[in-house]
Amino acid sequence: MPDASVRLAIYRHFAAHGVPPSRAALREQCDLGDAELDAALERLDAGRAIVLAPGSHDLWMAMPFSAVPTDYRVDWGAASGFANCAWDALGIAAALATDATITCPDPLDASPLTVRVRGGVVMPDSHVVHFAVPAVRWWDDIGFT
Amino acid sequence: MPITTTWALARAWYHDRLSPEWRRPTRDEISVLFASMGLTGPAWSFG
Repeated sequence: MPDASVRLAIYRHFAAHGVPPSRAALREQCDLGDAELDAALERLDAGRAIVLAPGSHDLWMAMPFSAVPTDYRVDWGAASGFANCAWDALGIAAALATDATITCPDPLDASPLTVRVRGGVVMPDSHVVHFAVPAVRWWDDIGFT
Repeated sequence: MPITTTWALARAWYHDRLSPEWRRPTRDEISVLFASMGLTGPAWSFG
């Protein structure tokens, strides 16, 4: 099955460009037809390796990357893009083993907040991250989580 | 959660996401990971 190559192509494109690959790029890179690509995307979604937008074959998340704009913007030098949440914003730096600059609104007053990862160290280290949903319910509504 | 703990969790969770060999961890593996970081109690339990 082509699932692994489709998954990897998605992640490598996010890493290089900050956005998901087009369907045409995925088809060409993985040498798949439309139906085969859709089937692979559906399996990856069912296996929680990616998340498709409801009722479509459009990418929504390839955690930690987000295919749609969010409050969590991440610049990692080679590219910039969006993360799904604060944890995932740090997750982009972790997945790419790179420095990163994260900008997001402060949940308390919406003022701009910047967090940097430099040489494996997160700065400033005084912030806290709120996990609003218990782990057992993360996938009940992954968009909310 | 302190952001330093979140960063440690992010590294443990995502460090291999771009590896061709990546697979989604099982609930047991996730529980072990959480516990190794001191993340215990109802918020981190799958029970």
